[in-house]
Amino acid sequence: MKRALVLLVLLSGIVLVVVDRTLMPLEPLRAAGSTVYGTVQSAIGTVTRSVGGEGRLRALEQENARLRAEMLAGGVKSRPAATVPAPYRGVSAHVVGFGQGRNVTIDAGSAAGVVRDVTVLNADGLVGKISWAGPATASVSLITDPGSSVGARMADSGELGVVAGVPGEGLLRLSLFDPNAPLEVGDQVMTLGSAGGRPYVAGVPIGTVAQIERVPGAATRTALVRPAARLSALDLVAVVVPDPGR
Amino acid sequence: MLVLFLLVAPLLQVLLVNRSPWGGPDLVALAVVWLALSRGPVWGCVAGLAGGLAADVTPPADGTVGRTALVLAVTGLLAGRWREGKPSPEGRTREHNPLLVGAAGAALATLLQAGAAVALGDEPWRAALAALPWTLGWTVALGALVSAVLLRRRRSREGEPRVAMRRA
Repeated sequence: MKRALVLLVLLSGIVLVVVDRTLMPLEPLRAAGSTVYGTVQSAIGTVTRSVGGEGRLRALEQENARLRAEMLAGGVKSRPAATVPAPYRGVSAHVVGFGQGRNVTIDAGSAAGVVRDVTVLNADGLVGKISWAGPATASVSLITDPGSSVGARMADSGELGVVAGVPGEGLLRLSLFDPNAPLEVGDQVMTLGSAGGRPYVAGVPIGTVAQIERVPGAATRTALVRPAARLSALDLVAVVVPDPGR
Repeated sequence: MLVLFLLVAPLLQVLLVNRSPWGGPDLVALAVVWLALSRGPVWGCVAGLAGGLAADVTPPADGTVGRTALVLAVTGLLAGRWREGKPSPEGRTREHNPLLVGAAGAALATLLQAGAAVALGDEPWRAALAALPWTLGWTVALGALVSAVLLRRRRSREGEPRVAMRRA
């Protein structure tokens, strides 16, 4: 009896992994987790914020409004050559849960219009992209995730490159496609932007060059970039979602 | 008490522990190891599946569903088994030191989780390796300490008459 139970438990664990990996992603289970644990996370986030007091709430609301305006006016305009601005809508959200340094939960989900693979930013710069949207919460994959890569453009020289996460350090690694491109500590890095603004819209600050790596004979120019947004102390963020009604 | 802790552990993990800049313990793994130590391998195995599944679907987790569940079910089973020990010829079972089993169970859970994450392609191995030492240290330290306290409490309760033996 006991042996059967143990075998059953182990077997169901294996079945879960196999089904999720090969047959179909177990979306209903994830949605249930988002509904139960995500809702509690949002509720606790709301309570801790309201304890913070009225003044903090007002400051956040102002920041929120500014963000929205900034975003709708479009950071895209600073670069006329960028893609045609698609109709976007800003959804403001709070970060309520933290994963193991690579991803966070926000308290807005598909009910608020959040979908997969759209840009998340805050007042300082790029935060990441939505990796999964549940009913009431969504998961954000941060730009420091070693699996993330963002198309980048130097703000001054216009050189193109890719920014990827570096494991464990909270920094990013920039690779410029032109090995002879001018690069200095303190240079600003912006997002290049993708077609339709997914996953990343153009013209959002990613960070500043902190240290240039000199690898003799390398095919690309690499440097370490400090993110503009403080990714270890995130609170208010905005999600740029496509708005078909506009 | 421990079952309740198992259910809220995924929440505490994402709300408090992961916020800390110095790393933190894996609370779900700890809950499973403690349950296995105080209630035996079958409890440990079932608790591992339930707690691991909860951890797998608690946002912002985005790995394979069932990965943590499977790993913790195995850990719970092994930790419980080892704790009980083999029955000696005289008919008495010799229990292992809870401090040691708690530490080993916690280490096993952490290492297996990192290994499974890499094997299933949820994390690049360098990222898993970078986070491992902190989590391992915290989890093993807490696992050893609290296991010893739990077992001592259970023993003192068993010494008293008319107290349910299996409740820890």
